[in-house]
Amino acid sequence: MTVPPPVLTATNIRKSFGDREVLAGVSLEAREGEVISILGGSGSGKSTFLRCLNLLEVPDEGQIAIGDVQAPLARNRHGRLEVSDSRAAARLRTQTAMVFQGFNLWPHLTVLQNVMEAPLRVHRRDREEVLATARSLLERVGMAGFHAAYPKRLSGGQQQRVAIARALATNPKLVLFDEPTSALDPERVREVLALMRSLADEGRTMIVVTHEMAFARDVSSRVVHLMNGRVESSGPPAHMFGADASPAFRAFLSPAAL
Amino acid sequence: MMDDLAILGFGPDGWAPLLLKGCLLTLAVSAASMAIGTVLGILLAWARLKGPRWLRRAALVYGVILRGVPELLVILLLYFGLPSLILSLSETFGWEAPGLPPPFLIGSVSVGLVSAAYQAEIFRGGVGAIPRGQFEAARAMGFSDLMCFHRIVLPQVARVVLPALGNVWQFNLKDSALIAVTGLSELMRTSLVAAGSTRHPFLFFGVAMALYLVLTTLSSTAFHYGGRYSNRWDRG
Repeated sequence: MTVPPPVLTATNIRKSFGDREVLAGVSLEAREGEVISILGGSGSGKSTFLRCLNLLEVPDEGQIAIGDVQAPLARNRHGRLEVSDSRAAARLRTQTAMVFQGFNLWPHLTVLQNVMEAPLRVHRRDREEVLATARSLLERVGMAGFHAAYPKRLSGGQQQRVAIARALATNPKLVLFDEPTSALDPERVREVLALMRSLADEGRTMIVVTHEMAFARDVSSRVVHLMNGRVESSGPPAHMFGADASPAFRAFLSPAAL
Repeated sequence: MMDDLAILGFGPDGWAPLLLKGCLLTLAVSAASMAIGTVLGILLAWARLKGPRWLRRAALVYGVILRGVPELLVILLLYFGLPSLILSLSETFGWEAPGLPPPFLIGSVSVGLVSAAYQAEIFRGGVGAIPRGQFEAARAMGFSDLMCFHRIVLPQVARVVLPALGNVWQFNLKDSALIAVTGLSELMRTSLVAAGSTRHPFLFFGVAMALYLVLTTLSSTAFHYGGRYSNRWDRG
């Protein structure tokens, strides 16, 4: 059996905000088709780490590569790491997509326009082709009937499903999910998780920051526990949720009464 | 009374054609100053928000100065002050002496410079009203800064700033009357001349007032509908 190639390689990512060290050297490799759940208490740095992966945050230290393309990070004359080539950074981001806790749909565009925007404007794909893809994606997320609606008219769960369609529209190599269900009502959480599960089943490479233990246990191929800005433990869910799990992770899980 | 109607009419002694021409020139010079103000205002707002430190300071100082002095003074400085400075410089260095500058250009630039100072504040506030996630969603998909500005920021800022820009436009329209000092025969200048040469000041200033009101009312209606259109996605 051949090992699939890495889609993402993040090495020794460090990040501080002022005096507070949020990431104290986190490394992660995601191979094609992997679904990695990142768990951890609030303030453990999990969202910051995810945002470093597509350079929404610039790490203080470390390296990131998507496929075999290195992220354009270099030290400026003060010795701080910064994006050295913003066009290369934008090009790198076109290979990834992100789903946000707050959906962040563009309110001035309709559902269909939201989905079509990046493939049309950024990837400059053929309009007919983009339209066909967008329609089938909206079908897929169960939002085809809402293609002409503006986001404001939709419930949170519906907005998040559109945001997922938008993320898939460019056919990214890697989809980053930043607490995608944390802003949703309990009954809406289920519809979004079901959709994410179906994406995992079709072999999408996904990195998911989440509080949904059942999703992490049942869907992901690997679970990473972040604590105080470090990887406290990681492994396949059978191990992490089994008897040999690290005490710290077990302690993290216990209030969730699993 | 019949005299009055004749001097207001389109006949050989009538002032109507000149007054209408004055209206058009007022509209043109206001539109030009508004456009200058919008472009420069966006640049100033960008400088205040994202520029390096020195540029942020410079944009701030610009706003303090241009909002803090009478507009008439800006017009006088650019139309009479600047040419006289250039004239004395050209005498010193033996250049060819330039003539008086074109009133339309100097007028719209002067009002535009002041307009920009006000518009910059409006755009700055408008961009601040857009949630950070909007930019992040665009950047995360590989948008360039320019594309993000054009496709995501501008349409959303337009909704927030259009009512305030409507106000600035109304000020621009009224402030364009100050350009009369340069001799540009816009509405104010034309009615001054008409009032003087016919000796009917009450009539002509009254007519000018009515024409200004027509211009401001029509354009504020246009801004109202523009505002509604830019807001179409945010209704209920």
